[in-house]
Amino acid sequence: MSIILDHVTYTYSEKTAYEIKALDDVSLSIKDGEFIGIIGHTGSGKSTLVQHLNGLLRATSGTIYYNGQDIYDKDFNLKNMRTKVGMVFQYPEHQLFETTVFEDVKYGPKNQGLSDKEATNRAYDALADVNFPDEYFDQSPFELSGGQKRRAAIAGVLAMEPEVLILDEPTAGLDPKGQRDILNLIRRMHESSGRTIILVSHSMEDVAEYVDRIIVMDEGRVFLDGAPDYVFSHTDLLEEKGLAVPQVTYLMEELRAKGIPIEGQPTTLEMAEKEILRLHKAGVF
Amino acid sequence: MFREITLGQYYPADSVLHRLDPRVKLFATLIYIIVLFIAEKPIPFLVITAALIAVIVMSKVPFSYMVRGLRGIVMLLVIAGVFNLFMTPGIVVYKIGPFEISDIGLKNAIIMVVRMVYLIIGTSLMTLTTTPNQLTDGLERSLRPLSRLGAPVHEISMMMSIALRFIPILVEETDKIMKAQMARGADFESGGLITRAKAMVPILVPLFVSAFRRASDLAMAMEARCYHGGEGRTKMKPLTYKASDRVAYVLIMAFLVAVAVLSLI
Repeated sequence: MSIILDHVTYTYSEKTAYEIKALDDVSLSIKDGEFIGIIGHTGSGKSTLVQHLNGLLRATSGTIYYNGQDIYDKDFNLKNMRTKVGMVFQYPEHQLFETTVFEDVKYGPKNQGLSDKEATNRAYDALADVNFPDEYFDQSPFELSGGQKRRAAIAGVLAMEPEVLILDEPTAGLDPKGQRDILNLIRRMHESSGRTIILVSHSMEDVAEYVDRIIVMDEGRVFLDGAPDYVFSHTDLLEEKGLAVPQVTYLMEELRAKGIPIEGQPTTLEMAEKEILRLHKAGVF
Repeated sequence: MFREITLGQYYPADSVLHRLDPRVKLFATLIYIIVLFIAEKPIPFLVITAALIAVIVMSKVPFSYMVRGLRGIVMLLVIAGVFNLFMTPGIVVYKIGPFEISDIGLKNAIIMVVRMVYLIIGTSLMTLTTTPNQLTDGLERSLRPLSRLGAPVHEISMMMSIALRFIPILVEETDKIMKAQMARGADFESGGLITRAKAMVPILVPLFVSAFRRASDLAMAMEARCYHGGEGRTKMKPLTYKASDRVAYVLIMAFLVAVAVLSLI
């Protein structure tokens, strides 16, 4: 299950006064089972990019291949593909519409043409996956708290059992605990089912801690692409683009500047802890 | 997919027309509409056409923008044209099978179609060169005398400007919700009328919810900034007439008189 973008360009409102090039010649290859983080500041094209991955936006030029098939081919079933490449939009709770949470989660599976029984099973599993409390199943989705709404909405996408899951700023507007919960949930989904996960975020900490590949977008182009320690070793380049590296990486760099021989590029608290303990054992402190 | 809507959309440019006082443009539009309905003979229409072309050139707005507004009324044009063409009694000048075209029918159909096309182009010229805020400002100022009679002029114009301001926001919101539901396998294109109407529910419910949420947020934000209606409220940019506005008034009146006189003789 791979997605390949071949020289994809996308222009909003082409040939008008409001023309904007949101994607500019982007080529990418996303392999099966990867956990990818896409970062970039507002307007860098990250949301536009992910909306191409399931064919919601059609590239102005360039081609996208899903499992080797051109998704813009006339015979290609885009609707079917959209259920395989699940997309959780920013503030997904704004898409809730049914009378009960359970019915809302069933909407996706029903659109896939599953029977009511199968859809019910899927909805039950999906809600259990996101740790949604049983007693709220039959409540109106509009009466839930922000965090619960978000879970219900994510379950609505999970219930379609997508092979690839895209999440656009899934933690936006949640309190710190809600943010942790959602991110741990996403990690669990990656580890248990091995599905490809693409996480759009602008929290460097989150991205560093959870993903194994980072794509940095800037002005519609792929600016950096690689493992977190590779990407976050380019502090200067990132700062030039108005981005930052995780706090802990700054700390380790400062220690290094003070003459402490730090190895590698620790990007998470755990990695930094390990490195400091190693140095401590070696008798540097 | 909704980004193409142009009716009521402002086109930013720097032209004489953009700089005119909105009250002048409102007045001109009113006169233009009256004139369109006075004119019935070819010569007054030639004058209107010349004036329209002159204004289009002055506006610096691409012509394609004005034509886009016409797309929505193509069906209406065809129906009005066809009915006038075949249903008007008079001297038969043309026969297609059982259908007869009379001289008056032909004339009425042409006038009707030209009027509607000119009406759309002319009014969209006003909205293309005037920002929604200017428009409601102009309207509020022009209707101010009515407030002495107890009409809530300020409130109405505030409602109008809020409504106009919210059109693009709601359009964007609809686009987002549609995409979110499409990502959940929704299909808005296939099926019969009832299936399609049902498919709209997952869009309309979230849209209404978000419209109410936005409305209450806005009301709160306005109250937090001490909004209390129109009384005693001053403008940051009060409308004042410039020399060009006065010239425009004279030209508009001359246009009205010219068309009226040419229609009478």
